[in-house]
Amino acid sequence: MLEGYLMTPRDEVLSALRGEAVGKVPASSVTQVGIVQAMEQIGAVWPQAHYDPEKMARVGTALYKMAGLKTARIPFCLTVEAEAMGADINIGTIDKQPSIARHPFATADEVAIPPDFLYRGRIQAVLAATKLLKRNVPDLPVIVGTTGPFTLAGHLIGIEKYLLWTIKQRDSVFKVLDVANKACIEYTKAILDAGADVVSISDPSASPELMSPKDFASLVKPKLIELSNTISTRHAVGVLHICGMAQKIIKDMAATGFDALSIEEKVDIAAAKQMIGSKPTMVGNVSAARTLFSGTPDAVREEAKRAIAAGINVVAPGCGIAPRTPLANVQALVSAAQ
Amino acid sequence: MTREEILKGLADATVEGDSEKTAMFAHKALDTGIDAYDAIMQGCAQGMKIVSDKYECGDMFVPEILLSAEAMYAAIDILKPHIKAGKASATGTVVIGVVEGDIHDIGKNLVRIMLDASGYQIVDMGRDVPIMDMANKAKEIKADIVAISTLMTTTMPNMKKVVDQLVALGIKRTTKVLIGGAPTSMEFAKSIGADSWCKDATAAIGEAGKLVVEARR
Repeated sequence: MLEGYLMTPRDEVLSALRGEAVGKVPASSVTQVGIVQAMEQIGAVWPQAHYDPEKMARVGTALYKMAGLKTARIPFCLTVEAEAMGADINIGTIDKQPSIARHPFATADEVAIPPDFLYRGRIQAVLAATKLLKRNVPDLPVIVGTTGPFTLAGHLIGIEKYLLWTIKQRDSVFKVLDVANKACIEYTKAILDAGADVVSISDPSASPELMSPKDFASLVKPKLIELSNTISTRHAVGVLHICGMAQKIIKDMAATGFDALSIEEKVDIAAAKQMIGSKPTMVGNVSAARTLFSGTPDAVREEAKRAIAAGINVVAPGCGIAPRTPLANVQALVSAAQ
Repeated sequence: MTREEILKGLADATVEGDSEKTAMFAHKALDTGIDAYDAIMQGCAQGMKIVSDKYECGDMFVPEILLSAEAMYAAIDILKPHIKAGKASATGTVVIGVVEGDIHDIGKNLVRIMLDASGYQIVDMGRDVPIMDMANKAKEIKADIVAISTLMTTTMPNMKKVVDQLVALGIKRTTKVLIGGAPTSMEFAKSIGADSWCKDATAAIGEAGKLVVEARR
């Protein structure tokens, strides 16, 4: 390994995510990075950046340019796959993420991957932006975020109905989850073909706040293993992000084969490290809501330093950063890692 | 079947999430002359109380709560038309909704279910509710509580706008604001002028109870 000061930000972050790094803990983000203050200054904004590859790539690197956060991270929502599978989307505004307006399927039997899945909605825009980043910012880690299988399944059916099915119609749950995961895998392969260094999968609906840890192990874990295999056979880095009290499922998350786990401030890093050992590595867990969004730069620095002291491998927002987060707080996050 | 057996049957079937059974016990309650309001409060609501306790200690999860709620509503649909006038003096009136800009309503629905089971009269405004609509509805029905939730950090500032609007309408003293949702906290609630915060649906019952007392003081 090269000396720290010779490493590019890409090398630093990828090594840290793989658990190979020695020395400084880098500040990065594997979750959503669009903030209004940065977008306005670079002249590329939501909602255009959700479907225009050039603008998407610019917003993806905005926090590196404006604050030194070592990341080129796209896209900025968890609706790309669902839209390509038939969901209607509200595209949102400069400070409002796209959201699902209508779930496309009522029954499990209807759920299918469209033959032209990769050419629908915004998928080609994400792939084109990935290629742009790979070409334009080779020294940054190109991180593409995707929707996890359980969350995607919930988007397709409606999460309440889908959760009820976990008790009432278990067969339907498996059926939808199978199709959703096939879509996840197909999309992941296309992202890797486009040259992404890291695929960061968020599966918030699989959080213990919604489903039991037992169901996580029996329903979701096998799917995540398939996904992590898809990523590792291509020698890319896989990150799994789950919100909330992920501590309850941290051992099962660790057993999915992802290189790194991205977690929120509700997880006690030191305790989690004790449970799972040094690998997978951990990314996070500075509170996106309490600290980055509503706290002071000093509070951000303090929390980031605490995370580093507790053994975090990459210091980052614990969850998707809020669009109205002050840029100064992102700068504070970066300064804590220096 | 005795009155106790029927009420316990309603409660147990609610916990089990068995809609056929709760409907059956609801009919049985009416047939044997049990007061419809008592059947809801001492049967179904008792069951939901057990559900919320089980959720609290990690024995039940969201899917089970949703199933129990279905079972509870199956009985309530049968019992409600038979409630005697004047009997249902509501515990309090609540306007509930997911704040403007956010469509994640599962948490809000859980809170509504629990408050419903606790005897509150509830106006559910749904999700992505415009700030003005929320405040105006509270004024219109003289709500004791406005309950607002958000799952996203993005939309937290809109909660403050609801509070500000209640102040502008001059009803903030008699209408208390309860907030909730993953990124929120009691600290945040106080910082925007809301009256209380609940960490989950179970906690909402306790907080709502306190707020009604304050609102009517």
